[in-house]
Amino acid sequence: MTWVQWIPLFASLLVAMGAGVMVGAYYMGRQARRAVTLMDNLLLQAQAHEDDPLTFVPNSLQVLEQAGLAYGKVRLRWFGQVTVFEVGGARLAGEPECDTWVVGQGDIEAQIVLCPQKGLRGEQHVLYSMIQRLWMRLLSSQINGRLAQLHLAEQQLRRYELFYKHDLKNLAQFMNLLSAQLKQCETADKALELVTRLKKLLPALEQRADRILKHLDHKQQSGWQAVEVVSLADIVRMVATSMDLPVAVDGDAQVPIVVRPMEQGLQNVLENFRDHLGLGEVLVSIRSDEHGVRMVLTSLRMLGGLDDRKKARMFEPFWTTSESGMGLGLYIARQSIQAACGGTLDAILLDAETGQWGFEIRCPHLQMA
Amino acid sequence: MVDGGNEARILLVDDDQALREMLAFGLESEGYAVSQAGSRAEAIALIESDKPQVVVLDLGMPPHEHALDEGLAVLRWLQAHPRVLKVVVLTGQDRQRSAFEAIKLGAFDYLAKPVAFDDLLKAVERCLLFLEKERQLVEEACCQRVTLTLPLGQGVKPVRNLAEEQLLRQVLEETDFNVHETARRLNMNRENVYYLLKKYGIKRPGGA
Repeated sequence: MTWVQWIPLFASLLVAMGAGVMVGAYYMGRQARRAVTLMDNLLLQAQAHEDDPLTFVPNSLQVLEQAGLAYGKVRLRWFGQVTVFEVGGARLAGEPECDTWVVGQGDIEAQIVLCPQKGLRGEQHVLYSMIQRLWMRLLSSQINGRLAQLHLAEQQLRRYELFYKHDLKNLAQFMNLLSAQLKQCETADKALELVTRLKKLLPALEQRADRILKHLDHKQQSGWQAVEVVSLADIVRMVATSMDLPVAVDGDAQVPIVVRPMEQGLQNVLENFRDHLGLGEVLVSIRSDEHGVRMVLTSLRMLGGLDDRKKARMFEPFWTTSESGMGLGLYIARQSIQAACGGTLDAILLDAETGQWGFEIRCPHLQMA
Repeated sequence: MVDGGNEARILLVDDDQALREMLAFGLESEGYAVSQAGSRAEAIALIESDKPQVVVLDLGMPPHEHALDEGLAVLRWLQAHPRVLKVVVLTGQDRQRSAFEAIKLGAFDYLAKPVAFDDLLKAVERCLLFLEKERQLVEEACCQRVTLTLPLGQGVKPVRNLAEEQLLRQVLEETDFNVHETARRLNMNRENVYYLLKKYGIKRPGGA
């Protein structure tokens, strides 16, 4: 064959190679567009859910599935409440391809298991890795952001506590000294001397009183450690009466508890009833057995709407559906119940059919006195 | 009251003016000469000028009234500039932590607010009794009582140096920085005292 005869063959080869390159470029372009779309979706999810892990996780796992995720599980601990989100076939968990992470700590922590589809290679694996890494970054930043907010809020609360301690202890000390001096005022001269001194102090005293009144709340400091044997039914009635809240108590238990935190915890729970359910009657049932005491507070108006997410949200500090509330009531109530009897406070479903739910207080290992 | 207690000078350090005045009134009624400071800087200035025998010290003062920093800074200053005085810490801060820190930095006594006036009075009297007996110890037995907070587990050399420095600072303070008298009391040559002054970077108060 002469070289002229090779020309058509050579040309065909060039055309075939060109076509191959074009198809390759088209495929890569599509993959790149897919990656951009998936990344956009993730970022939009984060934005739409206001960087909130509780709603971001279940919605964004679908985006990971589209990128090549075969199985994903996120166990999210949210202020004592554990919620599990899962997509794909659980049988894949534990496969060598699966990756596990733990993000956050303490009150907010996510344990994550992600398993990519088998046989994910080349550019598809690169795409999956890219999307998965972006997802992890977003989730980490959301959780760490929440933890930072929480830390800040705790610091602020601590500062308030320190303020009370400082000012109230000084006030108590002042009164103590004044009382001691008054007792020693046996002559008119001495009394005059004391009054003159007190007069000089008036501006400082007024300033101090203003500072205390400005920050004072109704929290009582004394009696937060002393254990007393009390009737739980009496405490519930007393707290409800002080709030003008109608209450029907069924059962009772005489148990040793720290009274003040129990009162505080119950007051916070009942305030929640009042703020969200109006002045409907609160139904309280108190039972005890060898495991301890169980108290359930509910209302016939508490119907429906209790799911895992709401349960987790309820006890989150500074989360509230009320415009006037600070969102600290149930968060503090949980801590108060813990302080009162080492117990727990949870929201539970009481009747699956009607959706009636209520609050459950459990004081473990408490025996009737 | 201890002999001569009527002449004793007491410095009250607390940012709460009303509380300070009431304490001062009570202590003055008992015959003590009382001066008052509302901050770390005022406290240090009055320690230097009034030479009190007893300092009643609050730990939480501005700008850190909810922390221990300011009061502890006064105690640290006293460690670096030993004075013949006793410190009674009177504070409303976290008891466990503040007591530990205060004692670590050489406080003689610790009282938690609110305290009964009689208890405070007894603490002040205890301070004066100890000061009196320590003075007697120097005069009659030529013994200097030194309180040291020393590190453990680093061998004896740093401990020896700290003890040497503390003793030197204390005697210098008592002799109003008279090197000759300090050398006599410590049974050393004046040259050795100068050597130690240089070694520990001790300078005459108000000097360059």
